Amino acid sequence: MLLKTSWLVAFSVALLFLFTGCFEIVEEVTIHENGSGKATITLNISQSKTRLASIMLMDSINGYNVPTEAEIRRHIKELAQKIKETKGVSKVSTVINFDDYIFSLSCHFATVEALNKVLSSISSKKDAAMMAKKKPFSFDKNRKIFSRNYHYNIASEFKKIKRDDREILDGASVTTIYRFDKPVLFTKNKDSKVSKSKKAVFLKVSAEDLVKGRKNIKNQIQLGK
Amino acid sequence: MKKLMLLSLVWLVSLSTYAQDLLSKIPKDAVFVGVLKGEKLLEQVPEEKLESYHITSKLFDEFKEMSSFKDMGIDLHQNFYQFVSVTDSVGYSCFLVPLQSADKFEKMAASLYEVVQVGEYKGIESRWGAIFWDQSVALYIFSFGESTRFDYGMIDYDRRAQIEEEVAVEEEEMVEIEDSYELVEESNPWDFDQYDVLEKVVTVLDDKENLLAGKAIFERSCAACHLRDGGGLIGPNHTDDYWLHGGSSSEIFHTITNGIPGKGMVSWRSSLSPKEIQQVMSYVRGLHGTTPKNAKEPQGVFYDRSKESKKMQKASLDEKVAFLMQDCQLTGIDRREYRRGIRRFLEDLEYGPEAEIVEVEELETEETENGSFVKPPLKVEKPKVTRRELIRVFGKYVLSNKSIQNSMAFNQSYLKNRNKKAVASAWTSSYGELYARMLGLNDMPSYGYPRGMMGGMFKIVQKMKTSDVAGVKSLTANLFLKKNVAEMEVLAEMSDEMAGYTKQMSQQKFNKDFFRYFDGDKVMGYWGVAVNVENTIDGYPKMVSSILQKIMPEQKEEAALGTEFISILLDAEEIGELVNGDLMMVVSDVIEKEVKYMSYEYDDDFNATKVEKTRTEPMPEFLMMMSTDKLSFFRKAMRLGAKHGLINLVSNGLYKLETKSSKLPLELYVVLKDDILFIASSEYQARDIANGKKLKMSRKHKRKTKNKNGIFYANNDAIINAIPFDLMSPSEKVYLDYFHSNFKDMEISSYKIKNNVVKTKVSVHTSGAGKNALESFFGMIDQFFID
Repeated sequence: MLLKTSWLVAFSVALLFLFTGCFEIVEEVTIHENGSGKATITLNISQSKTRLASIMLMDSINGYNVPTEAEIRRHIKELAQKIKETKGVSKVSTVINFDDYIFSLSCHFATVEALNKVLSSISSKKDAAMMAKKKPFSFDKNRKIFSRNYHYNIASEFKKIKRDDREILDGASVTTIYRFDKPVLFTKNKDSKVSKSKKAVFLKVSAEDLVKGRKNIKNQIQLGK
Repeated sequence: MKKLMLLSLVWLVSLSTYAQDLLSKIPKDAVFVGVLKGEKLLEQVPEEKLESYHITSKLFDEFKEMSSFKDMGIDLHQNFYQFVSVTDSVGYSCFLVPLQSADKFEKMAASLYEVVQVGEYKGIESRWGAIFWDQSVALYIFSFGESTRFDYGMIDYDRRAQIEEEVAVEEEEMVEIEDSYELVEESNPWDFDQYDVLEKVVTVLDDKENLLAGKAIFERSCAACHLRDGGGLIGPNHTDDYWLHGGSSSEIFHTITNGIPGKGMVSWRSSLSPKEIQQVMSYVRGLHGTTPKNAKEPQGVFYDRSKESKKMQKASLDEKVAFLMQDCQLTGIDRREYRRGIRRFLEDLEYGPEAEIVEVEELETEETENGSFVKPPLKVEKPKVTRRELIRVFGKYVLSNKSIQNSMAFNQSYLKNRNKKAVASAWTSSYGELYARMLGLNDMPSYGYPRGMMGGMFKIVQKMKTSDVAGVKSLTANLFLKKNVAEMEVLAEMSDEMAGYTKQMSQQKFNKDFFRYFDGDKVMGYWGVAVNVENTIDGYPKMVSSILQKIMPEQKEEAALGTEFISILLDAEEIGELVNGDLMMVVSDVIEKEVKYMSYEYDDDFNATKVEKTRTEPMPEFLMMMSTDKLSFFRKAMRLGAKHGLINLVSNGLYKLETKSSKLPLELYVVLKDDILFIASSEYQARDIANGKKLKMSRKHKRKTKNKNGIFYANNDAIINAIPFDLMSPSEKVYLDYFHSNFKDMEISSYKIKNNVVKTKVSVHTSGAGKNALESFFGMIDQFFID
């Protein structure tokens, strides 16, 4: 009987607050002089905890199917497995935290080209085709230039969300942090910040700015010799 | 004798009224009938007003020179019908629209599609549907079902033979009607020429891959006349600024695609794809400025590349689509399909086509003495008939029906369930039939049951179609409009057996003490059910068993086993002894609660530290009540829970449940009092109950639950007052404002079974800001759905 009660409560909570909450995406990449490095991508949906906890108690909501914890775990494990199979990639690890709703994937790579392969291996065919044209990451060892391109159009991805549900984007953001062995001379994206030590570049863009095309996460970073 | 004459006179009169009504056109065995009564609608909203609402005026916008239903030839004062007829594999969804002037209607129709003559009727046809009309009625038909096999199941055989004859005479090309056909689709009316479309938006490709491809094609196909270096031989020089047929991307694309008749340039349309022509064009443009030896003298007119517009080169895919849609003449669904088609085409050009999913047909295997082998799929040649031809036959069948006895006007189940006061009604004859349709199982072959699991399913559904398996004989929905209330009721007519079980289950009243624990005027809403737990647990397995035995009479034993299993799961006595079966959940307020979440803070070197932050979230405050005769049992359970740390005893009779394991920011308090088990979300509310504080009985709400075994109530005013407005976006505030000033409260109630009919009713009370309920609804649509 108590089980049923908690279900009811969850249901009413979910109904009332279906449209609140937000998320953070953090991309952190370290690149050494020889082109190898480490990459981590984190999805933090902790702010929407109440909403998610309620939704997770249901099968489907608003026409979207709700995956179970086990399904999400399995999916992340599958992704990690896929990444492990990519040449030039090692030490793949995952963090799955259902208490705070924080999920992350990280790996070491021999070259940024391997990292690009990781991205295209876990993307749709169409996105992978785009990536073949425009490399998400590139690092010119001789000229000491690191560049970040869109690997797929986040804005159009967000636009696919039903109009009514777009509010989940309120307060959502994408953060990129890139670290280097050598100090940074300059960065092309005017919204990015260089750290005190000059060896890290930080950029935080809100989902709203991304969707409306006011800002983007593309960047080109020139390192000192 | 006089009496008899009088009776027959009445009979005749009633017949003639039916005859005038379009009901007489609907086949007697239609599975669904909906009606909208024009006259009743006009009582609520006058015609001119109706036409001024956004949704209706938008309808007129589609047609020039038409601004009213009158202009369209439609008679709003009569009844409009919708019905669905289902054959073995093809269904027809139809609308009957009464006409005032067939001429005006034709004029409107002619602005959409070309008017065709089909037998004695005029009509317009599109790929999926058609409209046919005579002097007094228009019939819109839309067919569904993707089957490759069908027959005229619903048409009686005499009529069918007659129709077959008519059709065969009228349309020589139509194949003879036999038992089975292969349904072929006609080509899209919006089939577009990919070359022409691309020509308008073509851009120069500047990546290596495409330019190499263009070069390869150029060297293979063009070099013979224009030379490998583009210097020109038979054809002109491509490296200078002079062009015979235009030097823009589009013009070059056009020349390659279509050639120049009478000159040496041939059309490459049939040998190169649009993409390939784009590649060659890009390569050719790239030749500009190179200096080949022995180049031909310039020919044609000077083309100034520096003045070229860069607009298309920079345009996004969306902008290109928008540009192409500018001079598209199509309307409605065709327009949308066209847009989708060109969008897809352009997307494929840019990113390469999506991989197609190839479905592998599962082949049946057969066991033989020598092991199993795969049976080849059975191929049967079928005569072909188009959807269009089918719709014509059905249209003629409906419009030409003159026999009232064969129409809905003689369907007893329909007549019994209809309600004269309703403004609109919907009725469906057989639940099982519709269910089978939804599953698409009618489309399965009838020459033999497939094996295994699917075969079993198929058998079951075949039987469901013919028996009232779910215990529901018919479903009727009626819409009533009164001054300040709109009501919609759904009536489910049950079979005697099912009605018996349902009656037993609903023998439970709401505990009247429930209504003393919440403030009836301030309550935001509640949800309640009252069922007889023992009878439900007892009756439910019997109900299931009865259904199972109808579906699979050969498997009686298995069915019985299933029933017993359900009985074990729901041990009647055990649960029945604990709770009585009536419960209510009341939401009384919305409060703001603090919630913690994790985020990041970054130091000078952008190293992240996890930090806990807080935000407020609105949470509902609720109270759940359940009647029970066994409070002592629950007291014991609470004590046991306390021992194991699951429950805290706060004070006498007040317990707090430990909900730390749950991720919801929620506290739950339990009170056991007055033969009621209370679960509350706030301590003060629980404490009041534990201290014996009661409110005045809310008679208004107690009345609402009379003769019901389920109710949902929402008080609009209270809900809106409790919603934290600062958390809302401006657009949401507009919504809320409208609701606030137009709607008062809403109720969904399910009534106890009466005369084998289970009634569910939804009522919405309006505040009177609009003149009546209907106007409030139309106003709402105008307010929110204007694009």
